[in-house]
Order: sequence, then C-alpha cells, then structure tokens
Amino acid sequence: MDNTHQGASASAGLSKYVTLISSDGFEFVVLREAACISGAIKRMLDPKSKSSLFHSSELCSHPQEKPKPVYLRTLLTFTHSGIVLEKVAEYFYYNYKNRDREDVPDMEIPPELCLELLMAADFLDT
Amino acid sequence: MDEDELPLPKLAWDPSTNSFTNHRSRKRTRSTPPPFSSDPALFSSDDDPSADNYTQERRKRKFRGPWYQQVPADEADQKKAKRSFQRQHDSGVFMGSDGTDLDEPFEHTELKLPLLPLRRSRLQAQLQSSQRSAEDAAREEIERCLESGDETIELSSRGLTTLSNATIRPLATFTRISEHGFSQLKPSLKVFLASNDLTNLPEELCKLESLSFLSLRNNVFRELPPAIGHLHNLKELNIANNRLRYLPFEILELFSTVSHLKDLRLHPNPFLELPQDQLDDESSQPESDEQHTSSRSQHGVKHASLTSRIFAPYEWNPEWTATYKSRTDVRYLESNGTFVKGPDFSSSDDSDSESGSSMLLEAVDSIPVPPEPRGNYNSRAPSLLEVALKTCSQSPQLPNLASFLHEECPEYLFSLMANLEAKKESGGSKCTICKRTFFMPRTEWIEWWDIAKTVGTASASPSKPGNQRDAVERIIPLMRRGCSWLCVPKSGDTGVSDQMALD
Repeated sequence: MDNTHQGASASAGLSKYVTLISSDGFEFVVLREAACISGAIKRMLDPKSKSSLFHSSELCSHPQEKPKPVYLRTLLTFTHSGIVLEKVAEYFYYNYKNRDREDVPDMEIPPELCLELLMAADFLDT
Repeated sequence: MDEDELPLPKLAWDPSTNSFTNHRSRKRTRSTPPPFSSDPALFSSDDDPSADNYTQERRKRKFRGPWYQQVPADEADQKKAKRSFQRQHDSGVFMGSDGTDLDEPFEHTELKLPLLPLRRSRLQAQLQSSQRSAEDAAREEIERCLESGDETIELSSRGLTTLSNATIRPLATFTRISEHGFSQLKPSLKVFLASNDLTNLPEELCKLESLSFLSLRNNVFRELPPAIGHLHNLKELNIANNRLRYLPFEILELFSTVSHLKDLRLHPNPFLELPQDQLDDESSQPESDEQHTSSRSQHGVKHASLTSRIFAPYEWNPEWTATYKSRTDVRYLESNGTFVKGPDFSSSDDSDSESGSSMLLEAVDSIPVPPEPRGNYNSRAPSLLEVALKTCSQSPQLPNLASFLHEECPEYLFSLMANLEAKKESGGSKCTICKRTFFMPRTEWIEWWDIAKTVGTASASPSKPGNQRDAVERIIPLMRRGCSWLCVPKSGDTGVSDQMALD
C-alpha cells in the first residue's frame, strides 16, 4: 500500500521526506508517509487542499502572496518545542512501523509531556 | 472330604473386563470398628510462655488429637479478658505522687469530646453538600460492618449519588475469622445499593472477590462498567429498574465456568430490543430446539452447551446458556470521540422509539467497512491522543491535570479529562477484540445474545411459546467496543468468537 502511495507521490513530484521544525529551531526529517498519519499535516501537504495555504510555515506569514507550488513544500514549522515535536515524530514512526501488525506494542511517553502531547495530538488531528 | 472343605468365595462376572473379579477385600472384616492403636495425643497449649502468665493460676487449654483438627475446648474462657499487670489508673487508692496523674484523664475526655464534633461541623459547613454527607454515612456503615464482621452491607435508600473508590476500598480487607480460631473463612459479602441515585460503579466494588450478592436495583445507571465481569464469585446480581439500554459485553464473563452466578435480574430496563422480524426468525429456532429436547431429554443440556460453544467467547457455565443472535452495524468514531459513520444508539437516550426503528441490523456474513482513514492507511496503533490520555490516566496527578491544561486549548479536552477520571474510577475498559486497554472507543456495536438459565428453560419450555414477552426479554443487548477502526467483528459469528477468547 505504501509502495503504491510512494510511487504516486514520487510521480507527483513530492519529496519522500518532510521536515518538521520546532519553535526552538530543532528539525526533524520524517518520512512523508509516516507524517501523513496526522490529518493536519496531510492537509498541509496535500497539493489540492486549501487549508495547506494557511497552516504551512513559509506561507502563513504572507497569506496575501501568491502561494508557491505546493508540492515543493516540505518544511513545516510548529509552535511546539523540540522535546514535544521529537515525541510526535517518534509517534509517527511508531504508528508507521506498526501499521500492519495485529498486536501493537504500547508506546511510552514521559508523564511530564502528556498534557503537551495531548494538545499536540489535538492540533495535529492524530 | 468335600464337606470338610470351606466354600470358596463367589466370583463376580465383570462384563466390562470380560473376566471374573473378586470384589471382596482381602482383609478380614470386623464387626466393630478397630480400636485406636494407641491413645490420641494429648497436649496442652503454651501459646504465650511469658512470665506474666504464670503469676496466678492459669488454666491451660487441653487438646486431643492432631493440632490441625483442634477446636479449643474452652472457647468461652478464652474470650475473658486476660488480666494484665498494668497499673490501674483508678485504683481507688490515693497516693501522694498520683495527684497530677489523676486529673489528666478527666481533662482529656472533657476537652476532646466537644472538640471533635465542632471541627466536623465546620468542615461540613464548608462543604455544604448533602451528597458528601450521604457518602460519609455510607462510609460509616461500611466501617461498622467491618468492625462487627457483618457481611450484609445495607446501603439502600440513602440518597447516594456518588460512591467513590475510597469508600469501598476498606471492604477488600473484610475477613471472617472462624470461631475455631485456626482458619480464616472466605467471607461472602452482600452489598445492597438499591434505590439510590448512582450513575457510576466504583472499580473497587468490581474488584471485591468475596462479593456474592450485589443489588443495584432502582438507580440511574445508564451503563455498567466492563469491570463488572470480574465478579466471579457473584451469585446474585440485581440491576433491575435502571436506565440501561445495553450491558457491557464483558458481563458474559459472569456466565462462564469461572463464575458462580445463580440469579440475575435484568428487567425492567429500557434495553434496545432486537427488531421484531429478526426476533420472529429466532423464535422459530428455539421451538425446533424444544422438539429436540423432548426427544433427547437427558442429552439436552449437553447439546445446548455444545451448540452455544460454537459462538462462545467463554466456556459456559452449565447453568446458563448464552447464544449469539445478531448485531448492529458498526459505529465508527474519530480519535477525539466525534462520530464518523454508522448507526446511532448510544447518544440518543430519550428518543427510544426513534432509535429503535433506525437500528440497522447487519447480515451475519457482512464485513464492516471502515471509513476513509485520515492518513493513508488504517492501523491498529492507538492514536497520539489515546497515548497521551493513557499516560495522563497513569499519572497520580490526574485530578489536577485538567487545571494545567492551556486555556486556549479546545473545550472538549477539559471534558475528556473529566471523563478520563470517571473512567479510571470505574476501572477502564478493554478492547473486546484485541484486549488493549483504551480510553476512547473507536468502534462500537451492539450484539444481541440470548441469555437463559438452562434449568429454568427446560422446565418452562412448554409455556414458553405462549409468552412472547419472555422471548423478547431473554435477548439482551451487549455493547462491544473496539480500540481501533480495525477492531471490528470479523465476517460471520464464528470468526468473532475465535478472535475473542477473553480470559
């Protein structure tokens, strides 16, 4: 399934990876396929979606400008800190890795991050 | 010569082994029981060999026979408080040095008595809630039962609206000590919570192993926690006259061999009923079954348990039969609890008739189709929201967590946190397909199971077809929940049952 999708994304000129940038400047390079588990990121990256114009980093500061071709966009900045975004990226891969498994192991997150991750989950729609 | 010979004992023909056998024991028989080979051991106890015990004449307990069969002969004497060598405060003898000591106890009692109620009343004034005091009363009652060893905990008609885990927890320590002193008996607790305004059952109650009777009659329960299936020693359960539209799927555990349920009162409750046409199909089936039972009366029970095992998630208790009948379409939910697709049965609480008619029954062999995934695929992995909520629920700070939430975050997160706390109180739930503990259900569907007492139906079978209502009431809707969009019933019943051997 992902093969066909990656094939599709490659043919559409989409990069295989996307970069998530935290508010304090950390960058996380994540497989596009994995990051698209998040409904919000998927919408941001979707070439056809309108919401992508406003949520994505480079463009949201200048919404009046003519948007660049969307498929080029692989950088996404977030208001979350690097610590949170790291866990988010970890979750993306956790979900991606276990997508076909019957018995999915539990993912552990540090308790002090649970509220921030709760809000991140709400924002990212995952 | 022949007459002198003693007749040989007769041999018996054993058809199973095809041979003669001698049933007689080789030992000589006695008309009287054999005398004791020696006198039973006689010993006396010296449990507490401290010197204090020997200051006055002391009656020793005498035992006969091995120690493990002992019943102390002088139980009554034992109960008499032993006099100790402690100084008596009010000896009646005035001594000069005692002057100060004498006043002290008086001072204590006089001061303490008014102090305690004062503080209490101030606290109650602060709380200003009648339900708090209702639960306090319940707590005191439980305390009293624990003290006196009373197994019947009568908390009916006390106006209880909530019952917390902390109130119930002491009951877990309930022990019954036998009069014989050497062994601890297993208590069998009876908890009456009838005619209150309860909506939630605390988890601790479902953990009480010694609970044998539970009455929740006449409350306002809309749902029972799945943890109720853990009450394996429950003999009687009364949940009549509540607002239950369905029962948790886990309640089937009470009909399995590990449980000891004898009596179950479910009605009246506004249960979702199996649509009529479906019922007609089903009611024709039992009739043919009854014809069978008449012809094979002695094998009837066995056969019934055998047929039910085909669809059975558990090994059924021979006293009960539970058979899968039908199920609704699967209702899919988003990770934050919003509805995606499927029938609507849990939310519409007031419009009974409407939801009853809109209930979609699923053909037995249909495969549920999950909605379009948010990502590119559906997976069994929990959502990030679920993972975060799970970590929250494990935190000891759970009640305070909601106050740390950012003010700008959406309203539903606050209610989620409140729900999370309530859910934790009532014991959480497990996916009925993959057993993962979850907080937000992603799939829900209702299965109708025909639950009946084996003995009862056998005797009542002649009158059964006449009473249509009985047949309807035997069919109980059970709510099943799954933790991911892939946790859905597999095609056909047998597939489902193979999946979910729950214990």
